Parts: sequence; structure tokens; C-alpha cells
Amino acid sequence: MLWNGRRVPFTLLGGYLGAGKTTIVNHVVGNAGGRRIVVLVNDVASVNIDAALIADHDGTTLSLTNGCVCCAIADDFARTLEQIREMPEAPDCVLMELSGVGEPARVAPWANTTGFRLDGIVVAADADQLAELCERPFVGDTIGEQLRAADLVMLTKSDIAADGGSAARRRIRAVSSAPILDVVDGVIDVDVLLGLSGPIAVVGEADRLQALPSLGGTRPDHHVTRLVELGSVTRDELSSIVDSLSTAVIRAKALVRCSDVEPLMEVHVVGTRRTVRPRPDLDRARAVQAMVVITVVE
Amino acid sequence: MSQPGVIHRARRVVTLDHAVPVAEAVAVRDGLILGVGTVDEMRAAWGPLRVDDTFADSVLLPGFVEAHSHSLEGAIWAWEYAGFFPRLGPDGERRPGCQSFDALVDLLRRLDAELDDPTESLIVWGFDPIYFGGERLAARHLDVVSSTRPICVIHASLHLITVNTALMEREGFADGCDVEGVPVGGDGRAIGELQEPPAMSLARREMALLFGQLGDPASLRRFADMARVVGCTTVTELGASRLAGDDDLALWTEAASADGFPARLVPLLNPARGQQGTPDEIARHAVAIRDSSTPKVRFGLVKMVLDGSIQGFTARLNPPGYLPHPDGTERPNGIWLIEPEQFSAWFEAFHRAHVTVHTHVNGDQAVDLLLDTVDAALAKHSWFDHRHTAQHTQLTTAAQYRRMARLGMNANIFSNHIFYWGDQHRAITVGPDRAARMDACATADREGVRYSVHSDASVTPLGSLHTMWCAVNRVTASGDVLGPDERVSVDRALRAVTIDAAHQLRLDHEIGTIQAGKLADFVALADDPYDVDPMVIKDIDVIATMVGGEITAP
Repeated sequence: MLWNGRRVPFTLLGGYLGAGKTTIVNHVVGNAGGRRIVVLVNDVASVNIDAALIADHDGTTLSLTNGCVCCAIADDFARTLEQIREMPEAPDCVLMELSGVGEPARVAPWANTTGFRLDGIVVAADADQLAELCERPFVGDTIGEQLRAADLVMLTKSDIAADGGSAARRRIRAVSSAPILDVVDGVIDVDVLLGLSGPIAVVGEADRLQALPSLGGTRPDHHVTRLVELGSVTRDELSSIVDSLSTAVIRAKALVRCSDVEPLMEVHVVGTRRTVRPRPDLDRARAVQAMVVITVVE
Repeated sequence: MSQPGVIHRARRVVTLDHAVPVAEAVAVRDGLILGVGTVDEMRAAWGPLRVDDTFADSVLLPGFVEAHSHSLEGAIWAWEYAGFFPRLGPDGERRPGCQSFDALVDLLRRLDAELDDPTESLIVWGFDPIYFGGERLAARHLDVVSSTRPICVIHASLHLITVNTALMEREGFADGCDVEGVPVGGDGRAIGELQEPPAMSLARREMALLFGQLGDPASLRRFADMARVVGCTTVTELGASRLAGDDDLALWTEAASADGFPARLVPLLNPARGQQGTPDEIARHAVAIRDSSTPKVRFGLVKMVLDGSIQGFTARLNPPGYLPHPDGTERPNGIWLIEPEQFSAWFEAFHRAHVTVHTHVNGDQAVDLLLDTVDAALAKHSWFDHRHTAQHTQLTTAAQYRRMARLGMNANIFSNHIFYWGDQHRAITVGPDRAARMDACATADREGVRYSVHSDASVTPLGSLHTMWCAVNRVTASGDVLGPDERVSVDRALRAVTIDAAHQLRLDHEIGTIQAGKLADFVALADDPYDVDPMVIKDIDVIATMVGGEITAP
């Protein structure tokens, strides 16, 4: 079985031309923090990385000394994903940059195929241009569809927007209740974009519980990570706790033993994407009755 | 040294050359046409050439030119056909098709017995159960053929496959999975349908085999054999194949260099298929690869894709858009495959380099974007003979055809859609009025746009006689005439699949009519399309083709 049945978290990054997707990708690749990330981009030449980090470059694939790999999206998604599946070892996660007119909702099924599990849909929006783009002939509705599909919105360039991005925020709020993160120069905590590194292992080890609040790199000006104690809960109670999380929650993760069901329950939240699902494949001893929650500071 | 020439005497030679529209014979030497006329005229003019009566009972026409097809048509014939309608294979044999589940099972049993390796996948394609009544094909139907060999039935739409339990167990999803498009039965187990490409990718080995076929020279040979069988002497690959490196080009030129290779191939370069570099660099590449052309392979044109398909609801439509869902909910507009800015940057680079661009535009909004882009490119750089072509152009309006004419553009109209999806367009996608003027050949004529008509093989089967039959009759699969006022004459349709197709491929000085100096590419038919009832044009037998004066043999 591929990668012993492991399914790699797969994040989609959408947004129109000029929204800052490439800048975000460059930041992630340069700040991977030990993660082996496969980054799928439209144009490998756009990946701007310190030459010293490049281990190998064959035109369509860029291998980095930090373990990350950047691949051009080949002729179609099927072949591109098959290239990843042919890797002998599973990467830690996959980040796919969509084209400027890519509609994440239509691409999302690919992120949930053999070897992958859709982690979340992140859409970048240019604070200075978004309102105008939404009115533009031919593509205005496409940009609306992108925002509608977003679990998280990364609002870029609000530092140069004359109104600080307030018109763009109104546009986003007209179609989406997803948390909006201000991102300047692509600087985004990789835990926020791609999820907590090794989340299940770390969350599941009781002796590291004390370390949890620091995961996700709390930045009081931007986002706050905290621990929510769950105690004894039923599956339904756990679901309603997750559903009632504030709209400011950008990520939450937990592996919980419920009082009324046998398998461990995994909580996975990326903005508006909130799932609670059984993980019968995991050892119950790994459960921790607490949930890591990252909240955006608006 | 010149070879001695030969005079082919025919029941009739239909030249499509206005100066000499019909003749008794055509004289050929060194792959070129010496002239047309009577046998006596040819001997008087060119000396005592041998007279060949192979086609004395046939009608010779210019070989058909398919200006929008894909080599997938050859790749997919690596496996057997299991569709509803009888269909010719590249070996010239007619497959009866599968008109019931039982017929499919019989076919699979026969093919299963022919395979030696018990782990080898059994793949068939073209399956089309829409005329079978309500029941859906499922794994349990296929399990009776084999409980150990993986079986994969590719449906006609190419958006659905049905697989057996052995295949699902190999990939570990027989007990169901959370992939979109994998329906489960009452017992929670997957029923065997894999809907849409993401779910289809679960059949990893079979999909890899299909992709592998695309890069196999044998597929190009089968593609050319298929062309021969249906009377095409020139077929295109509209940009689905990568033409980036030397290896990509060599795949085509080496396959076609075999003695007696039965068709000329015109592969178009698609900048979205693995091309790296700036628009100007890619345009220079598109020009440079012309030097790799051979007598049987012509490089140098470009294809881009702007939107999706109408039957898939992914083409970009102007208001009022698609009909709503049956429950009344609105359908969203389709998708763009290239940003307008990127399209314009690529288009202008090709235009400046004098590279003809063919653009896939199914919906009328996509046509608007194309017209705006051509208009802007022409305003910046004058090139009168650009021959930029709108491909598919299915919902193009009279107003758009007027603009197309003023901009000097060509169209390639997807006439086969009328037969294969016309009923669905009328009932489900756009409604009766817009369906009646879909694929509007007569409107293109009225507004002065030169056009071809096409199959988009393998989306619909390759076959210019069938495609011109669609343009002439506009009959749907259910037998209705859709938009009778958009029907065109036999003569007009015949020009569309010969000289006007050649024109948009920039080959009209070499092929597309039978006249002195052109390549000796002919199709021999059992009947003259001008003489028969227009409703039987598609049934005229193809006797043979000649490419460069050589009769192509199976």
C-alpha cells in the first residue's frame, strides 16, 4: 500500500494573478522548519530561493537542501500527483499553488485521492486590487468563486492599500465568513498555513502537553495559540464544541478519547473547514483530552 | 532521378479546384500531382505514362483533413472498444459494439481468455449505457468475468470508469473511501463506479497505462491507421501532446518516418503543456521547431485552451448562461483555463512571431475574450494573413462571426456535437433556441468566415464523412433535425473537411484540392458524396487513401 496507508496533508493555495501566492510560496519554502514540503507551482522559475539551498534543478523540479521539493504542475493534475506518489517516502505535506483562474472547489477532490488528504483551502487576495478585480469583465465571478471556497483568506498588501484593505475586506465578507489573515511580504507562520507540524504525535504525548501553547508560534499582533481542555466528552459533545468555535479560529487540532465511542476522534479545523472523524487506525493511548486552537487577532 | 509517373483512372475525380472541378484521371509523379483531365490529355501532356485502374470504379477526392483531433484516438485503441454504436478500428475491422450488459460481459470474457498474465489489467473503452434503460454498470457485473484480474471499463464520456472488485481490493478502497465520486451501496462498500478524473485516479495502474500509451510511437501509428480507415490523409494533434524538448518532437518524426506511414501529422504546440520560459522564448521555440518538420510531420502552429465543455457545464457562457438544474437551482458559469492577462501575453508573442494560434473556445464568452485579444494584437502588430482560428466555437453568435470576419479569423466548428449531444443541449444545457444555432455553419457562411468542421477525436470518432454529414443534415442521435436553417450544402461541407481545413493549418498550397503541383493525397470512395442522398454520406465506403501518391495499406 502506498506509504503504508499514510495520507499526506494537502493544502490548496488559490487567488488571482498578483494576489501574492508566489511570495507566500517563497516564504514557506525558505522557512519550512524541517518539514519536507512538496510545493506544486505553475512556474518553477518563479520560486526565488537562495542558490545555496538548491540541491538539484532539472527545469521542472527543484530539490532543496532543506528537504523541500518544488515541482511544476505537469500536463495535468493526475500526472502531477502520480509523480509525488512515486516518491519512496511520503513528504510531510503538499502545498499546491493554483493558477490565477483555478477554482479551488473544483480542484479540491484531487487533494483527497490516494496518498493525500485535503487539509484546507487557502485563498490569497490583494487588498489593493480585490474590489476592482471582482468587477472585472470575464474573471470577476471566478474571483468570487475562489473566495467562496476559501477556508482561510490571506489578505496581502494591505500595507500599500490606500484604505488599508477595508474595501477588500467588505468584498470578502460578502461571500465568505472565513478568517482573514493579514499577510505582508508573504510572511506567514508555516504552522498556520500548513498545520501544526507532526500534530498527532505532539498532541498525543502527554508529557509534552506543557509545550503545546507555544506551538503555532503565537504572535500577539497576529494570532494566538492556546489550549482548550476537553475533559470527558461524548462524540456529539465534541462535535458541538468544534462547531461552536469562534469564526476567528484559523486552526484547531486534537486527538480525543470520547466516552461513547471506541476509536479515537480527530478534530481538524482550518478556518471554516471543521471535521471530527474517527481514527480507528491510531492507538488510544495517544489521546489527550485537550485541543490546540490558533485564533487570528483581527 | 524522377520516378516514372502514373495516371490514376477513376470513375470520377472530384478536385474541389474551381477551374477543373471534375476529371476522369489524375497524373502523379514523385508524390506530386502532375495534372488532372482525361487519360488522353494526361498522356498527351506528360508522355506515355502507365495507367492504373485500381480506382476505376471509385471516386477520387482530395484526402480529408481533420483540423481538430487528438492522438488519444490512437492511444485508446491499445484496448478494445465497448461502445454502443458499431465502430471501425484502426485495422479496418468494424466492431459491433455493446448494446447490453451481456454483450459487454461476453466481450470481457473473450478478452480475459486472451490474456496470459493473470495480473494484467483488462481495459475496454467507449462504454455507453445511456440506451440500456436505468440500471448502472457496477463491479458485480464485472466480477462474473474475473474475481482476480483487475477490470476497468472506460465510459464514452471519459469522465467515468467502472472497475471490478479485484481492482478495488488491489487499491484498498473496496470497503469505501472518502474520495469524492466513489459511490457506495447499502452495505457501505464501493459499487465500482469512479466518477470524474480525481476518483478515476484511484485506478492508478490503469490510468498510468493510459498516459503511457500517449507517449508510445505505436499509438501514433494506430492514429494514422485510424485516419487511413476513415479517409483522412492529414490529421492534427490539437495541443494535448507536449512539444517542449527534442524527445517530444522525435516521438512524432520517428514514428512517421516508417515506410508507408499512412497519414500526415500536424501536432500543435500548447504553451500550457510543459513549456518553460517567457512568452517570447516560447514563441521563438514554436518557430524554431518548424525546422524539425518532415514530409509526414508538420510543426509550427500553436493551440491554447480558454474554457471547458458545454456538456460538462464548464464552457464560459455569456448571459443568460446555462439552463438551471432540474430542481430550479442556478448553474454557475464554467471555468477559465488561462487568465486573460496570460492568454494575451502568449497570444501577442505568437502573433508578433507570425505563428498561427488556434484557440479552444466552446462558450460565447470565451469567444468574446478571444476576439478582444486578437483585436488588440492586430492593433499592435499588423499581420494580414494570420489565420488565427477559433476552435469548437459552438455558441458563437452572428455578431461574433461578423467580428471574426473583420478580424480575418477562421473558425473550426464542432459539427459532430449536433449528433452526439444535440438532444442534451436542447433539453439540458442551453435550451432549444440556442441549441438550434449551435455549431452554426450557415451563419459563418453568411457572415463571411472561412471554416472547417471537426470531430475532436477521440471525444467523438474520427471520420470526416460523418462530420460533414452532421454539418449537412444536423440530425441528432434521437433522429430530430436541430436548427435546419444552419444546414449547409454538400459542396460547402466537403470544402470544410478538405481545402478550408488545410487553409487554417497553413497547408492549403500543398493539400486540400486535387490540382497540379500539390501533394498526391487522395481518398477513394465507393460513391460520390454529391450524388448520394445526403443522409447516407456518412455510410459511403472508404476504399483506400493515397498519401504522397502511395496507396496506404493496412
